[in-house]
Amino acid sequence: MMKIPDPRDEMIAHLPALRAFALSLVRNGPAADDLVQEAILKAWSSFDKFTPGTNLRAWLFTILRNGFYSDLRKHRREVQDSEGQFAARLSQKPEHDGTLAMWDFQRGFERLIDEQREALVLVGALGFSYEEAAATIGCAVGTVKSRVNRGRKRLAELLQLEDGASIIPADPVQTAVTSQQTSLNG
Amino acid sequence: MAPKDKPTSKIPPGVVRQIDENLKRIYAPKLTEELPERLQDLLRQLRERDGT
Repeated sequence: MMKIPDPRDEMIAHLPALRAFALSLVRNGPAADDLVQEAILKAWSSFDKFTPGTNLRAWLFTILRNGFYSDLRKHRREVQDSEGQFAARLSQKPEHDGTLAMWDFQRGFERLIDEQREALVLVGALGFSYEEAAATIGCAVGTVKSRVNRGRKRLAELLQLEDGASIIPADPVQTAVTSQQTSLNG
Repeated sequence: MAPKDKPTSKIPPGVVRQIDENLKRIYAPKLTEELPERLQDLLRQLRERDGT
């Protein structure tokens, strides 16, 4: 006989991606896990409201992001760094090796507004469809597409990325080889 | 809408690829590492409490 899977069991499989998403929102590991912990507790006490067969991943991610935005309203963060300072640091870097490029990328990514960052993480890093990301965020599919597009454009501007002239190896095999070499040499 | 916002203009595919590959590289470790002890403990406690 078919047994309806318990969302408590299914939830476990989504926690790694949920931690990644939390990290993208709060930007430090312990705070990200605080957010995940809070989301697990909320989800656990609300499983009676979850409709079996619907998208558990989107449901969990929605709980986590609601927790994040409600905390954010309490403690509004300000980005202190100015555009000029960021650009100056980019031009000062000595070598365009993989590690530095990654550092630049992360700093650039952190400068995106929250809405663009979360849309890019869901779609670009975690493989959500636009529809699933829209369900998670609670907005229209077109809004997600627009945020992803604007986030990518902003990053391309900040990092001065151009087609074919990458600061990081664009070929996946080359990327893997370079990152191995970097870790061996570093 | 600000003048520099041009959501309809195309981003070169190579740039999109670079960005998405780097995003995946940032978050890949979280997807493969074990859950931290505190979260495992929390799940254990919840299960024990509910007897599930």
